[in-house]
Amino acid sequence: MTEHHHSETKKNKVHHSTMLLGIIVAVVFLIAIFSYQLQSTNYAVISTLGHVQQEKNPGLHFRWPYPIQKIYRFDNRLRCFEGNIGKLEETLTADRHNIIIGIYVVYKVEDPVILFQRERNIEHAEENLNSLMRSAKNEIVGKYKFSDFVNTGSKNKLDMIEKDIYKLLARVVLEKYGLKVTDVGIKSLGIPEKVTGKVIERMKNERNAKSEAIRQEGLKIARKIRDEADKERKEKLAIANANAKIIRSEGDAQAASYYSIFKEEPELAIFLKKLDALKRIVEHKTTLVIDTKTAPFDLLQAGAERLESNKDDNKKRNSKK
Amino acid sequence: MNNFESRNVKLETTALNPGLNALLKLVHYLFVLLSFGIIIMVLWYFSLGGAFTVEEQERVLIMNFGELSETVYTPGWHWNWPAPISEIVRIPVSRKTLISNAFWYWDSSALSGDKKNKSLSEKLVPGRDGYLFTGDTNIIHVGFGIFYHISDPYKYYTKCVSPEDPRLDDFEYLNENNDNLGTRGPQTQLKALLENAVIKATSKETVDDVLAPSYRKNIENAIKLAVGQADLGITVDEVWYNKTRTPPLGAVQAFLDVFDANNFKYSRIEEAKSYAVKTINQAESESVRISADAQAYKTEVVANIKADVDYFKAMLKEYKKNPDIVLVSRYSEVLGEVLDKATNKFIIRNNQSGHQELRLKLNPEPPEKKKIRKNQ
Repeated sequence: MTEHHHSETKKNKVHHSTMLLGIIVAVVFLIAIFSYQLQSTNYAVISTLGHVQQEKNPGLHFRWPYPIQKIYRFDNRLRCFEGNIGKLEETLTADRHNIIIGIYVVYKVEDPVILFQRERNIEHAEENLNSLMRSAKNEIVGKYKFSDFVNTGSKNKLDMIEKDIYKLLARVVLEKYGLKVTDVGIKSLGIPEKVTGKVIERMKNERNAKSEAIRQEGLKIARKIRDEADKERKEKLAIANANAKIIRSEGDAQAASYYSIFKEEPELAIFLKKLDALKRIVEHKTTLVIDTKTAPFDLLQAGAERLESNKDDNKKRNSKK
Repeated sequence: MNNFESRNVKLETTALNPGLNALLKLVHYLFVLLSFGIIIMVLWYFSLGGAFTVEEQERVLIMNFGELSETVYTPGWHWNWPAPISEIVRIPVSRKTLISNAFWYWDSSALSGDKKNKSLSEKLVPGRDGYLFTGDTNIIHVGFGIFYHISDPYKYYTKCVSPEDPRLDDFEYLNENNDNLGTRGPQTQLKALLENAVIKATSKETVDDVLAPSYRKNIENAIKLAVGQADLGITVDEVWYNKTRTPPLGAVQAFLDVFDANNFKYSRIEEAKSYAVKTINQAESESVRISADAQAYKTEVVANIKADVDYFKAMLKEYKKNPDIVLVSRYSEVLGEVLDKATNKFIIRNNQSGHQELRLKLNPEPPEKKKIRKNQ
């Protein structure tokens, strides 16, 4: 009897653990069927037998199992879309210039229900967005001159052009496709092939003219520097010569103050000066022509062997005779 | 009867299917094993199952039931609920590189491998050749590269669409017909921002500004501003030339001529400056010499006159004692000195009639020079 009771208890234990395991599996299974997770980076569109509603809050949500409810997820983060249609298309500016302009659009899903109902998915929406981008771009480019696209400083209106395209696109895209455009930018800016040739030719001509202008400017500046240096040189030398003249005149004035001493015997002074001058004048390779009247060559004359006083005495004697 | 029947059944069971007993035993053991496995799994789930490590080059974000937590997990060992409760997202934060050659020309030599003979095309083909317009309507080619890093992983992951594993490059976007619609992701957006900033910044500058060294810094500032305004959780560290700036190949020589002209200009200016320094220095030294000469003249003149005065005084003293002797002797001495120095001396006899003719050939050509010339 006791043995039988023990075996019954053992069987019950086995059943309890089996049941617990079954319950766990069932709970996990039910959670998997009746719930879904929505990530922070996604919005969801829940379709309940054809009736759609959106879910934007992330987390664990209740759902009816498929096929009663279908869940469609849309990434709610920014996407950068360049669009291929019309990327290399020529567009006419207000002043009749052809330009080739490519733009990009940054957008995100704002109203997933509109997107789902109108386009079903992002791919279809982007195809239509591409067409809208093309027409908006053409419309806005036609309002601006070529110089608004390419110009130095504040005359450049690229920012304004981008804003205008953005304004034209943003409202329509949100209403039609539930997409919010956050930014529009120009990604390429060009001109037709045949015009590039002319631009390159003009660039070459401009550069050649510039080269010549730079060379001439260099020569001009160099000439100016040289002229100024020459002028400064002349000024410096003129000042130096003027100062020198003053110093020399000071010397001459000082020297003149000594001349009064010569007044004591002017003839002697003049005689000595003459001798001094003669010594200085006659240097080597000088040819001197002197007659015999000049002392001491008067010694070469007849009677030079007698002194002047004896000559006078002889003259006196001869006269007495 | 009951005891009899039950005993019979027991005997029948034992006797009928000993294999069934063994099977029941096996099932029992398997159940125990399964229970044990489930216990192990539960234990693992609540302990090591949620453990994860964050590497140095990455940060981790956690999504609990899909809801992203703003907590950014830094390098090290961490624990969180494992999937499906939580999910971890690894964001790379190491430095990345992005290259844009959208403004570079198509290089035919790249295909032929002949780098020396690049085609000097006089025209640029849209869609094939990339270029930039400067504010003065010139065309410039340039390639840019940027170094960037993810500075705010939460913003980076939530702001811009990214691959499921953000460590991977942007994904190719295909439509239902498997047509490639381009890439989507943060790199695509960053590249668009870069190219847009470059186009706008360049279209406001002249070609000379673009060729100046400051251009790279201007572009870097423009890109940093654009990326900062986009607020993608990305910080641009540095912008560099992936391909250096160049005008269209057909106009390169003309641009090089401008550089030559500039070299010519500055060379001439430097020469002139050198001449100016030399000339002014010479003038200054000449001025000093002139001044010194004048000073020397002054000193000399005064010294000479003083010497003359002294000499005069000495001579006067003697002259007063015996004038004729002094004069004649002095005169003779000087004349002697003078004649001694003179090369040619002609002493002519004094003609009594007063008329005399003398013919001299003055300054004859030196005979030495004649010889030298003949030899030459």
